[in-house]
Amino acid sequence: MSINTLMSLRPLPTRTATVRAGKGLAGIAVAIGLWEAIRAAGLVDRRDLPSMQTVVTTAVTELIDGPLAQAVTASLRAWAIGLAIATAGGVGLGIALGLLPQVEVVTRPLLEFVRPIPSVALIPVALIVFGLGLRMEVILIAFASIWPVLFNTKAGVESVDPRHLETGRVLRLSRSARIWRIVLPNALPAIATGVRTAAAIALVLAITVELVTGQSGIGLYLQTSRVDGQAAQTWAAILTAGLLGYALNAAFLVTERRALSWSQEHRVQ
Amino acid sequence: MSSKAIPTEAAQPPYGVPAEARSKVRSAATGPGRSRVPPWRTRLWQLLWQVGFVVVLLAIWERAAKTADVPYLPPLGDIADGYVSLFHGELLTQELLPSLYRVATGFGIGVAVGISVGLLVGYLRAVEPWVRPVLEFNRAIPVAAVLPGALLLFGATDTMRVLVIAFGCTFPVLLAAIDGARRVDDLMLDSARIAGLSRPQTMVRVVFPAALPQILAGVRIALGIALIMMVISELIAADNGIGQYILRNQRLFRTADVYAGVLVIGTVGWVFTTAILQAEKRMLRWHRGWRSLPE
Repeated sequence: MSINTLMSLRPLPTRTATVRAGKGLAGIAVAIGLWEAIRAAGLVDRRDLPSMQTVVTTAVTELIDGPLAQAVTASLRAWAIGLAIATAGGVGLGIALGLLPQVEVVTRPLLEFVRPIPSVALIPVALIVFGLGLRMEVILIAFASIWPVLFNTKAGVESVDPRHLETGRVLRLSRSARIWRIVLPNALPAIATGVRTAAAIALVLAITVELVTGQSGIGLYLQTSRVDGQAAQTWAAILTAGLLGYALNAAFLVTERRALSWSQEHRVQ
Repeated sequence: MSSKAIPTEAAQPPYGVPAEARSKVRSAATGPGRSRVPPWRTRLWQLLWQVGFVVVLLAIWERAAKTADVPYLPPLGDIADGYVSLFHGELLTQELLPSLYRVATGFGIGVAVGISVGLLVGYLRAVEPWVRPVLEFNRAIPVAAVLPGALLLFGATDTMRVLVIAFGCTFPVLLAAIDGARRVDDLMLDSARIAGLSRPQTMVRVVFPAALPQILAGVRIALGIALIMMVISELIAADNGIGQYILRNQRLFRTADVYAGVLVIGTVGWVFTTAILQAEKRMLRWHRGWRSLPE
């Protein structure tokens, strides 16, 4: 939401943008200074909080040498498969619920009941039903991230102007053509927001599943490095996870802005 | 669907109005001749269908539990027993209450820090570009990844769990509060200055209420994160709590109790969400756009 507002502002003149970036970098420098100050003041055991230089060096070497890069790839793989399933399922179900009010009414209690359950609580259930493995991880990710896609799609479908649908009927478009050419384009901005939210949730789920069940990925890397007392590696992985989360969100935002620039005025809150 | 009348001029819906409101506009315009069924009867039918659907699902489950001998389909009665037992006696004090304490404290700290820092940063506009990238980065960290770091620093303690929940809750609220405070109408700020309000007074009486809609949107996101972090922090390092209860029963293959624990967490989530939505409705009654927003 916040990056969104930032990016939806009119493009700044380059000089102002440079000044802004400079201030941001200065802020980052201060944050690093704060980190080092906490170390220097001895508020925590220094072995548990390595210097930022060590963390960054470790992150770079671990990414180049492999272990961390492999962990990131494994997590991203499960993330991508899970998110793809959630997107396909969420859009399909969202359109169905948006267009068929009767079905929506009947299934509402079930959805309202299942939705508030934090999906991480379902990890033990998934372990019982599916056992260990990538399948279990992907299913959990898909289940957790389907909700924002589903409900955003439904809202997007419901906000379609009835006059557009009626125009479609007057033009004798078939039902599937109306969905494909009127409903879907109308709902696309809402769907995009849903998928972006889902992407963040999917990453959290991937890392959690790996932490708890030992499925390979960033989560497992974090867990083993912590248990082995490799604090620099743990912090390096946290830094990498943060950068990954930031990059993925930014990538989704940029894609949305490029692909859906025609809809910007609908999206300003 | 195809029998819908062509909307008259009066029925032209304003753009962006929620579908439910729009259908009201339409049926009002098409007049009383269209629907002779009184609304309570439609409601009753809806309710019957909803109840029927749930009953059918439960019946299928129960039948499957009796016929198929698989560990993941325990009888509904066992799940209900486990669910009820979590709300009294030893399980209540040993599992549920510690979890509730952690989530409430962590959520409270996170929201309080987020609101106060966020309003300050948003109000003192010059500060914002300096801190924004750091805040955005902290928000972008997948919350689960923070846990191993917190374990290193604080060990498997309650403090660690509360702090991790607070960390996850702070940044969505903080960034929402910044955006809210930045969008406060200059006219309101000028009026506050003319009325002779001091800066702290302006913050509390003008900036905070004006930013409340955004803040509450952030709070809702934070609530979801708080529950997730509560469970994660108990799955990995705890000797009590509802997350630990679920994991322990999974290892003992007491499936009914696993489902019961999940349902209890769902109940907690539902109660918190409902409470916040109610508070939001009450606090934002004055808000202009509120009426046209979907619930």
